[in-house]
Amino acid sequence: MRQYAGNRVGLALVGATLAGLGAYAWLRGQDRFFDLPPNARVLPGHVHRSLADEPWPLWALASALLFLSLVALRWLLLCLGWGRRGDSSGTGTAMLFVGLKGVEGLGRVRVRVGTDGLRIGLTCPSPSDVGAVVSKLDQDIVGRIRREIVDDDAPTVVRLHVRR
Amino acid sequence: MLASGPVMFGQIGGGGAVRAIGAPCTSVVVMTTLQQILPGAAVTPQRTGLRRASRVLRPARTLPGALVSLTLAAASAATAAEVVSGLLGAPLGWVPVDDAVKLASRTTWPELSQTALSLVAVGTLMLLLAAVPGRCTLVPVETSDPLIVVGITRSGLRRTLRAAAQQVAGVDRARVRLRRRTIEVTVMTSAESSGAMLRQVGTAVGDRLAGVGTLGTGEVVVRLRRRDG
Repeated sequence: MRQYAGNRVGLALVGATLAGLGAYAWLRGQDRFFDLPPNARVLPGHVHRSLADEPWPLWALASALLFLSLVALRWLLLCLGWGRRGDSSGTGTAMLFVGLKGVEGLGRVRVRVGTDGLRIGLTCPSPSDVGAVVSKLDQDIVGRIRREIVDDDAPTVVRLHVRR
Repeated sequence: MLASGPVMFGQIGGGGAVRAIGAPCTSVVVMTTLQQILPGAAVTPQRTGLRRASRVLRPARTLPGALVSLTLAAASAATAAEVVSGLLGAPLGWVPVDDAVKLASRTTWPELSQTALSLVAVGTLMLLLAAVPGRCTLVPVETSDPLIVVGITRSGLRRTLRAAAQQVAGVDRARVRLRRRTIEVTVMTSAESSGAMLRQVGTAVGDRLAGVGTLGTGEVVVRLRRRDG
């Protein structure tokens, strides 16, 4: 199982674009970008006039912006967990409770099955033997849950929390 | 009021070598496992497990990703709507596109130096956020199955270690700090406490840590603070 990399890819693309645009603007201003004139306007007059005369580049710009906003919206939804969290498994949760029946005060137990594997979360009280819980999960319970609700080779991430 | 105790140098446990360091205001014992002192002494499976777990448990950059994607989606959608409405002859007035075009047509490149450098700084920050792995959100725990990754929350590990330290007789209060390379346990005791208790705290915390099987947590530093009166 790998960490969701969409945010890092998105941040890298946006960051590289911003850094590239900033570097271009700075180099133009410092007269270090090939032979382009440094004191030219950012939007030259002939481009301004042609934009006023011919509206189709503005339609193309609006389409590109709309496409960009849809891509960014998809990124936002995926980032917030849409389609990635998986479904809760009642069987898995019950099996986890049965496997850890010796642990008093177990709470917030959840087992989710996603496309990338199994995600388990549980909370124990601080006096409980966390080492024994980890050992049971590793050697017995997770294997059983995997066999029952997905398959034996499904990658699994367990998030363990200890409350007061 | 808290007062400092003498500097302690001691040995804890039989399985691991122990180093001790002095601190100006507290007693300190540092526990180091044999594997940490001798590089190459059967560390490969642990390191592999740590690397595997770190790959899964590293931060996903959700907050910066959500902020950037939300800003990008809102700004590009609003600008597209403004451009289309302007082309249709009924500007919405959400984004000052006309003002931006006028500003761009009268600004020269040298006047943009500050803005350009700001853009480079923001872009570099985003690239760093994307490239730097970051500290794991959960502390990885050793497992026997390579397909299982177990992580314990930092607050959870602090609580379980604090509970272990507070079980030692004579400890009034304990505080645990998880640092990048060390786990610092500070115990508050009464004035008549001895160095033996420091060793007991170190053993209890070390045993609990070994029982949980955390990976890459480093040395345990135990500090003793005596309470006056």
